[in-house]
Amino acid sequence: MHSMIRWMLLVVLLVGFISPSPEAIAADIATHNSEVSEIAAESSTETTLIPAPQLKRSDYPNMGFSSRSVIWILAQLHLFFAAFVLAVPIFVLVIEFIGFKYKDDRYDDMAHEFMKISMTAYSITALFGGTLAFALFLLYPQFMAYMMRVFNAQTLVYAGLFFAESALLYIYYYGWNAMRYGDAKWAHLTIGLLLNAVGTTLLVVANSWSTFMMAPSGVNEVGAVTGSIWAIMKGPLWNPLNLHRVLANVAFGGAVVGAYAAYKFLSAKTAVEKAHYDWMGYTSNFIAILAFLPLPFAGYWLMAEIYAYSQQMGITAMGGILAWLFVVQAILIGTILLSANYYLWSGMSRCEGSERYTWMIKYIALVLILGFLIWVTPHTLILTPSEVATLGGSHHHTLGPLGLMPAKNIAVNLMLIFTFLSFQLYRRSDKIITVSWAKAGNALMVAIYVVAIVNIIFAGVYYGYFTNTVYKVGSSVMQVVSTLIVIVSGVVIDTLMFKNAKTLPSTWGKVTNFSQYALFALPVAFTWLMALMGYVRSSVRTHWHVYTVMKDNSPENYIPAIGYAGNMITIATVLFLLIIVFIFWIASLSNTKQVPEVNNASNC
Amino acid sequence: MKSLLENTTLVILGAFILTFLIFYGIDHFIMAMQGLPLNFDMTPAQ
Repeated sequence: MHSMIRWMLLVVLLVGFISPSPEAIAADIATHNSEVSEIAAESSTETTLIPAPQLKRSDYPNMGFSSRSVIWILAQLHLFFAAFVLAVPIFVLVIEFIGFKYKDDRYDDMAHEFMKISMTAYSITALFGGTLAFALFLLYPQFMAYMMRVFNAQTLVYAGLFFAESALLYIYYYGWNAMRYGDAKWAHLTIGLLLNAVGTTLLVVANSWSTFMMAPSGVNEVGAVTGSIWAIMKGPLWNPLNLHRVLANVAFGGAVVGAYAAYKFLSAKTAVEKAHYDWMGYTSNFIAILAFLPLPFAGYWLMAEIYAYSQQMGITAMGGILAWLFVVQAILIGTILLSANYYLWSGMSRCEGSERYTWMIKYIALVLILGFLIWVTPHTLILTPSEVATLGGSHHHTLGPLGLMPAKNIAVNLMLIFTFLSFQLYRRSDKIITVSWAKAGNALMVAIYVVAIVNIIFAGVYYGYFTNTVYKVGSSVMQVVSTLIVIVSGVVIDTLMFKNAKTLPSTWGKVTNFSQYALFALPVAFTWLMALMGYVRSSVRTHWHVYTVMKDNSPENYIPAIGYAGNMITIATVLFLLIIVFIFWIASLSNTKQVPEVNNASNC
Repeated sequence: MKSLLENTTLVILGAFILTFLIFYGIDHFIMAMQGLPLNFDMTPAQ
């Protein structure tokens, strides 16, 4: 039909072209324009109104193995490495800038070393990304065809960004020493900034695919594209996921390079090496914790948006089978906080002035452990009838309330506040404050801690257990803001108070070997946590490829059982950690030089 | 002013009163912003 119209148009045009009358030419052009517009409109309508395919079981290739498991492992490993290589340049740029501003080569060397670790990881990211793409097209061809139709040319933009990312990354890393001082350093920093801009854009573009699958936008109820690519990308979950992933990636990246520093510290032969890697480990832990502290709030925002988009989806995540995974999440986050705090407490032994604060450690530990225990207390227990009879009901009369969100909100916020306290004490350990208003500043800091803690407990207990649900949910914002006030005011007050402070001697490298194991615990817990919560995020779609729009009709269109999921998560975590150990080894190998063999003949 | 800042009890008391008032105001503001106003004694106004 279209080709016929086009031929007719051509004939009309030719006839018109032969005609000498200008009026006739104008009329023909007008006719042509209107017909072309009609064709374009018809063609556009046909393209945009193609619904998502309704797949049958036979549409999925049967390869003789679990397609979902293969995609699961590949996608998870790609995500781990992508998170790492996108995060490292973010904090490397900040460290490089600090080194440049304060003219301290130690920062510059450390930033360069961080980049060295991420370089090997970069090629592994690309390898897993390519393998994942092949596997997706092979195992889920119809689904991928639909995604390609929806995202269209955006996928090519993604590929283009990947080229730009690679070029900038190589220039940034290999040009480090060539652009180390003066104006050239500004050029290097600009390249680093561009690298991060491109890297973050890559991240948010890829995030739009995940969030489209969870909460599709820019398509109608049958999945036909009705909006622009921007309408498709900016779904309700896009920005919460963007924020959550950027923060989580930085925390994860910091934890992984911290493990590298610990590995190098433990294998260091000289005191200078030990001092360098001790400092590197401290910096990595600092980055990981700084990014980790606001992470629960970003997660809270994401969950709130999930509930707002679909209450059913929210309940699947937090009220159904997946709810138990939040207990596992609590264990992993508890491990992260305890490890990070333990590392800070151990690190206080580096500073002569730390004796002033060590008495507080036992109280901080007590709060962390109590918070951890409250967080892991489940609300619903799987009980036998005799256990129910012994308990006097399905919930424990004393511990039952601790299984509810208000108690957990109190626990989480207090754990974060006390982790910040550890961090603040560590920073104060080697300082003697000299400002005239030191007493008032300290009193204000103590007051902020005390009032914030009372406010968090009051909001959790009163609104959580004695008012209606809306006030209960609303009061959690009060708690979050209280925690943020402590963190922000702590940083501001300390920065002002440290002006002209006397610095006591600190000895880098003077930490126990045992403290380094805390730096190993961090990336293990972070990796496991990311795999676990990634499973929850993906599973809330239940039997949909694209929620409410494109059904999953494959043999594995159900939420996998927790035990099976636990195995998959663990396999992905162990594989990642094994490859990371390989990367550490490769990074060390580049520093190793073979000593030339002595020629015995010439010696004689 | 300088002598006031040297009195430890006054400094601590002042810091606590100031912080309490700030948190009290912030709590009211946050809840009102969400359409959940509070009474003077912090009980729900709705």
